[in-house]
Amino acid sequence: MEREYHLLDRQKLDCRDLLFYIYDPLPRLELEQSIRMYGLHQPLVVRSKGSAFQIVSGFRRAEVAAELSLDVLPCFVVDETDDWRLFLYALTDNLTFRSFNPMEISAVLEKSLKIFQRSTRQVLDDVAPRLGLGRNPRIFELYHPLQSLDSLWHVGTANGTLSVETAVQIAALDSATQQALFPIYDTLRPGKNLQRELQQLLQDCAKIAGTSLIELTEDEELQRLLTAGDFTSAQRLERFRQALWCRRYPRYSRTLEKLAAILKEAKLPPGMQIRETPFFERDIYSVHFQFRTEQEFDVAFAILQEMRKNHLIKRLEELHG
Amino acid sequence: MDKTVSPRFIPEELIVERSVHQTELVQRVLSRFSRVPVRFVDNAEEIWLQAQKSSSRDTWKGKVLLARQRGPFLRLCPGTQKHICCMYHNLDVAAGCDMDCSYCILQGYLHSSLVTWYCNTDDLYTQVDAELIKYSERFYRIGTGELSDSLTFDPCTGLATDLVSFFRDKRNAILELKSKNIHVEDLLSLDHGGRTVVSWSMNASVLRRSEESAAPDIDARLDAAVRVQDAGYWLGFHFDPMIDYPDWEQGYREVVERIFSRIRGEQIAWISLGALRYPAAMDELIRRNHPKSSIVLGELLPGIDHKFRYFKPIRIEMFRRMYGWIRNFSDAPVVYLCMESDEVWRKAFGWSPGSSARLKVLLDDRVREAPK
Ligand code: SF4
Repeated sequence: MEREYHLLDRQKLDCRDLLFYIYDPLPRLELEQSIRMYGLHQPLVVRSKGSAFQIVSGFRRAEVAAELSLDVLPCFVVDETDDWRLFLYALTDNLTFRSFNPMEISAVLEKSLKIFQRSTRQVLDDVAPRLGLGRNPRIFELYHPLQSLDSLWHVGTANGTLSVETAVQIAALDSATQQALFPIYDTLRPGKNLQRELQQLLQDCAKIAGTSLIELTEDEELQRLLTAGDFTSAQRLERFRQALWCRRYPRYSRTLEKLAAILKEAKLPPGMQIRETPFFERDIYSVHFQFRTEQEFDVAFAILQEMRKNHLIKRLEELHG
Repeated sequence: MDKTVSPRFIPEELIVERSVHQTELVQRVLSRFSRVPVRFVDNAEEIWLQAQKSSSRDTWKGKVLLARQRGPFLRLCPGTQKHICCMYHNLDVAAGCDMDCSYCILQGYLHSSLVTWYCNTDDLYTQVDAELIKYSERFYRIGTGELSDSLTFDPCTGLATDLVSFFRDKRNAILELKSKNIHVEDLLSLDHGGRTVVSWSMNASVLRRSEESAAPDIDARLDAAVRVQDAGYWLGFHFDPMIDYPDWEQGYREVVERIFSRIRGEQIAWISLGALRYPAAMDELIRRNHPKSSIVLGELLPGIDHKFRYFKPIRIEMFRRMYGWIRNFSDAPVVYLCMESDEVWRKAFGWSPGSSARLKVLLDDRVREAPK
């Protein structure tokens, strides 16, 4: 594509023309710092539009330049009438220096389909490889729904705190529900591996209780867990998760509680453990204890015998139905 | 009482793999559906690949591929070492089904609604004959209902009917046609020699409506079973998957009562019980493909085989109650559990076959002779 280098008066850039703008919710701190320290070296790409210039690539650079009161900006002026070709050019220009975050990818897909009216096939052929996503049609399921994400969730999705998968699940909800859920994630800050489970638990618990997700988020017990001051953040997350598990898996949770009660009654010393198999699927328990001397061995053994005498072993047996 | 009767399946397109074009089965299907568009392909694998890749399941709805079976037709059901398994043989004559039950395992295997009928039936008969002759001292229970429903396509292919005749004289094997459908007309006048069990998957009526909505209702299945009973066949019933829902006791007891009010216990070969279970990956598929279904909300937890299963005491309770209700009516059928451990057997039934081999003997012995 033909392009000419010019130093252009910033006032001549039409910053309200957003045809080629790609939405990115992340703050521009790094860019601002770099321009402040080293100046603006990467030229913008613009196209002449009457007496002004339309920005093709470099919206954020123009914004920072305005904030830093830079009056003259380096620009490549391109002479191209085909908007789609220019859009692709803008993508390449941006992607030379960095990769796009999920919100930007979603915006690119939206713009390609809705503004430039490209077919999904064209997007897969022309856009997806530029974004480094191959030609897998799943990108539409994975990124495009983020367009429906409430703005509260944008930064977390863009900076990767929220997994794209969970963001898509949240985007499928109406905006009032998305807003009601936000404080839960904001307070608990679950890692990516727990987000999916948490979201599924919330949705399932609401369905089981026959309530909406909004009503569930207002639930007294859950609210208390979110606001109580005496937990570390890891403890808070774990308690919250446990509370949801009790609703989602009531019989299993009750069995776990019974097991805990039996073991409490048994007063096992530190270093001695009785374990069930995962989810009680097999009717086997294992006993672990450590000993150094005959005397320590006798103590452990006496505790087990005491458990039997007090019918605790029988009660363990009964947990299996 | 609902009385949904499933309409007969009519293909929207027949895709014929050239190598089976001249087979009797393909010719029969083409003559039965002379108005349905037909497309020929050199290699069925292209179509399976396309179907696998397609983004929507519905793209292939109504399309039927008439293909050559690449692998063996006859396979021993894989089971698992950790469970007592009935040592059944599957005869893979078709893959896919038109009834779209919410819990159907085929969603995980097949990824699309494309239905395949394997048409090199000469190979099928040769393979089965060879196996039955080679191991003539063994007894085989062989079913076609693993990757499809045994009767749902019979009005199109007539294959179930052919198989009944094929098995008529087999002394060391019995065929099981396992179905939710009711297309039994063509079976009624056959000489079956007592070598076929026609069996129905049953469920509580309310679940039929929510989870098996394209399948005939329970009474229609029972009507069909009565006709088959009158034709002298062995019968079977499979409560699999049993689903835990608030009124499950009433729902399942009612169905047991309905069965025994119309079917003689002596003519029922077996009744199997199995609780809902599926591989972890299916959870998402069910949620996506059947958003109105609530079966995924059960207390399903990963089992020793990594499949999701109901928390064990729930399963035990369901099986125990069912066993009691069935035994109130008859001691004749073998009642067995599908893919459960010795422990679950003992707790639910008060006894256990102890091993897969022993269960196999119990089931085999039940059907060695024609029903009385
Ligand atoms: S009838 Fe059987 S094979 Fe057909 S969809 Fe239902 S579960 Fe699947």
